Amino acid sequence: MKSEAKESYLLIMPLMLLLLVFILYPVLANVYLSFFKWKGMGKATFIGLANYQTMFRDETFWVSIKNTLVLLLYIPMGVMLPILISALLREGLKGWSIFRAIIYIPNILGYVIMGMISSIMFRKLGPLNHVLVAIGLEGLALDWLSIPKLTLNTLGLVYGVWLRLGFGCIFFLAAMSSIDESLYDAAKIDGALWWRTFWNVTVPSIRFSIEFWVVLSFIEILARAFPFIYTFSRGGPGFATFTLEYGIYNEGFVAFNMGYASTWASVLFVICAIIACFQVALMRKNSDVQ
Amino acid sequence: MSNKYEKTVKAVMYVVLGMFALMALYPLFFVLVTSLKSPAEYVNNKLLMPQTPTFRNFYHVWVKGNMLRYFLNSCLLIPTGLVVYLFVCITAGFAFGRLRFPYRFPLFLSVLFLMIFPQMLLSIQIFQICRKLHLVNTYLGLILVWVAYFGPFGTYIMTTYYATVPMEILESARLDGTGVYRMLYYIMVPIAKPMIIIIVVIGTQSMWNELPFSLLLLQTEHLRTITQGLGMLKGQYGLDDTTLSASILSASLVPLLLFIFFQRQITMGSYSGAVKG
Amino acid sequence: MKIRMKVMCVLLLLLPSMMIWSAGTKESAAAKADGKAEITIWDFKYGDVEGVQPAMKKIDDLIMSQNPGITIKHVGQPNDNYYQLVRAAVQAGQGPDIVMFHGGVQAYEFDDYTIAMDSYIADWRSEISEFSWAYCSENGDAKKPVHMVPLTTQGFGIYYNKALFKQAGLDPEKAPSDLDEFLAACENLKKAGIVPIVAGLQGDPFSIDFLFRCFVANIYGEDVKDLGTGKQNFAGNAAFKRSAEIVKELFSKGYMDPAGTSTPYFMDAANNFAAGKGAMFIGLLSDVCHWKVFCDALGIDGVGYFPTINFPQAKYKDQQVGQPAGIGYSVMTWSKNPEAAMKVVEGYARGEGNALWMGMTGALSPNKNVDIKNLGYPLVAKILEKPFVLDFNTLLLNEDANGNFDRYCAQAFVTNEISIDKFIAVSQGMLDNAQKAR
Repeated sequence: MKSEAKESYLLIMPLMLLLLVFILYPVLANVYLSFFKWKGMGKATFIGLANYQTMFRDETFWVSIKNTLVLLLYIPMGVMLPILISALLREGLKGWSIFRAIIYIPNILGYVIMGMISSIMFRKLGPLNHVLVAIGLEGLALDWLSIPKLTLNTLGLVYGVWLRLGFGCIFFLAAMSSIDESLYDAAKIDGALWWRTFWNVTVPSIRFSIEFWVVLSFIEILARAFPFIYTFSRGGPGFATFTLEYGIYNEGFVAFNMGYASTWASVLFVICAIIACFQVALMRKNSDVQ
Repeated sequence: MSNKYEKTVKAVMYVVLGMFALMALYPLFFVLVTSLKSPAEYVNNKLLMPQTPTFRNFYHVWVKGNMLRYFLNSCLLIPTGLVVYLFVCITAGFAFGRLRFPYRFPLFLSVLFLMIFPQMLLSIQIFQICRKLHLVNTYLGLILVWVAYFGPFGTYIMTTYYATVPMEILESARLDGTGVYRMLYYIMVPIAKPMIIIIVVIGTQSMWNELPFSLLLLQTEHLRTITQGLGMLKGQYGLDDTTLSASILSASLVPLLLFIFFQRQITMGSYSGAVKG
Repeated sequence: MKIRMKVMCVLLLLLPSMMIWSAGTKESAAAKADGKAEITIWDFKYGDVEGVQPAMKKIDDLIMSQNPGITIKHVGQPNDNYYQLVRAAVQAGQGPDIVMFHGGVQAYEFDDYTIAMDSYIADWRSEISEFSWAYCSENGDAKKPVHMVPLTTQGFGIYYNKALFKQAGLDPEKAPSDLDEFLAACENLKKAGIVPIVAGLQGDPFSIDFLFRCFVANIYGEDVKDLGTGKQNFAGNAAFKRSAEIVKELFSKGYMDPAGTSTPYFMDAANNFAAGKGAMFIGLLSDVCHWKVFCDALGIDGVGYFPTINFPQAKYKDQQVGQPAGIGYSVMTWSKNPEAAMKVVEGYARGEGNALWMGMTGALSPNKNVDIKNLGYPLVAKILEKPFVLDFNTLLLNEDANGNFDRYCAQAFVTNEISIDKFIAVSQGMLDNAQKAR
């Protein structure tokens, strides 16, 4: 036991070195850059807190914060749905593995591709509305991509819930398979209904997996959504789906105000750090249990 | 009565699952059908099966778009990247999961913390670093960046897996006088096969679809990946939906095949990994 | 177990072989440059394998055969991330010899890193109008050195489908000459069951964006330049307000294609017009969505054109809006062979190469010596008869010109989130931004 420290450090060395050079340094350099005016080339000029002042007066910034918050509201649904479906799949219905495989397909295609497909799906004359009209739901055949609130909520539903369903199912199925079968047997003897068993047995048993998934959901919405939004709606119509992350792209790679983009990024950094702290708290609790 | 009740429940379940399966399958179906239409036909027939199927779009993508070249590049680059990725994730995962050393937990948490940052935020600085290290336009540079960025997640999965491996296996190996490295190679790697397959799939998928880093780091034509090739094909004014669909299908070919091929192992993996915990 | 070890061995072998492979190809490229001038070109158009790449390959070959010492390495880069890559090259102080830029602000930002061309172009400067050269000079200032050779002239206008005009009982040979006629034509078309204006508004509402450029040309005429200096403004200009009201009216009366809100402009909307799904289309003059595409689809005589909609409040009439350089080539300061690089640029901008460029890609060349009538499209000759008025969009900051203005248009006319007054205020804000930056 005592002699393992040296080997251990050697084993985690590759990862730690890579993280130090390619992740930690860039993150810190970014915060540093937020005090400069820099067009992405040439010399950077130090301007102190001016970028932060500009940002807090920037209407677009507050809109992007608001949009990001709305998207975060979809997390509860994005957590519940895969758990429910996993619970259904777990019942051992005939052909359940095929279902699980099919549900995972959107994940394989990747965010960029799913964004492109979604932008076609939700057109006014697109497939979704055709189906809705065909089954007699004309009232629901809306112009999904040109009503700001609707587009934002569509984004939340598609990206925050549906797109992550496949991976969620695999994740929760794995977690559920470790539940002691005798708990279910006991519930059956008590004559508990499916719904009650789900709430009283399944959900508590996979509590830690759910907590991790919640944190992961925050990350995905705050910091991984850009490729999807870019291909889905380009942040539009207007500023309807313009998120904090999209703003970083817009300031950094369209306007090339790199210093100012770093200022936005620093806000995201702070939010991410807060979530990371939650995550740390979760892990600690988790490890205490272990 | 209970039989009838169960039957209804089952029926409801099938309906719910069937709906979600349809929703997941439809995009793929739509892309497939669209990729076989000519632009002229697509203007008038957006949804139905193609009247006169054509492979023009695929010809455009593969032959004219030089996609084969990019495809081969990806096929060479990504397995190499995976080797490094696996090495890093397995060694670190094993150390975090089953070895005891000072600062183990804080270090593990810092790894998880670094998982959070968006690519956008990092890409400019990463380019500067790579330039200083002379890693621009080399696969080595891109692989290192990829592993640094995707590694924490893989490490997390491996750590949670190794944390569930019974201590007795390690103890008996220790009693035999097996060193840590031999133990890792002869016991821990084989034992983790199901989880390794999962991170191979996750790793391939993320590397295959990755764009911001590869774009900045591979700037010469002969090094490009297929995802970059797709971005180029779009040109200044974008693509027709038909050609776009063909390129979407072409680009996701490998991840799809990989998934179909490893379907069973992925299932097994997620189970055996969890069952032991 | 054994198999796994073999697999691992194979995978581990992959690693060094990969390194050697990527390094090896690099070496061979360097060796080729020995003794000769190898010119590397970056552009965002080369990726278009159907329309542009074949032409560029041909021109490259032509230039290489005319200049035996020069080898051209043409590298296409993705359009979406193009300027990010060029900046990365600038930061590194090395990269391609020749870089393609969009004319205007995007190019001016790189003035410090591109060479002054005046001495190289002296011999043939007269082939391209001073209007274009001024635009391609440092900061757009005609008195300063030229930093870019223009390859295309871009512009905007309204195309119409003559057959559909006829069907609606309109005179196909007579384009609507003022607002009343235009609205009457729309009404007739609508009554005949024809979509009056094919629109592409999903994502970026280019149809409105381009229409405004046409309107602004009519409102300010030659004074457009003053929008950049503060002598002219959007705020407080009755004609500008009226133009916004006209656009609003086009929507409220249903003249804009109702499906337009979920149709992307490139290429869906253009394809719809080419397929005869509507009577009018606000299109481009160069590259795509223009006379060539539409004449090919609807017949040489099947397409009509008018540059803008005249309305009483506007000071000018029939102004043709244009950008003196849609795209162009610049030579970077770090190039080791600026002479050779300039030869390549010249090969593209004049003579046989330029004729190929125009004939094969459908780009409009600013070079006066290229005979447009030769192309066989009478329509384009008619378009080019008129002088151009500078596009106001070229005066704006990059982020406003290529993003924010479209977002404002979407908010004001597609989603109806902001009033016309607010639209004018934010549009004026873009002018203020541009002034502040100067």
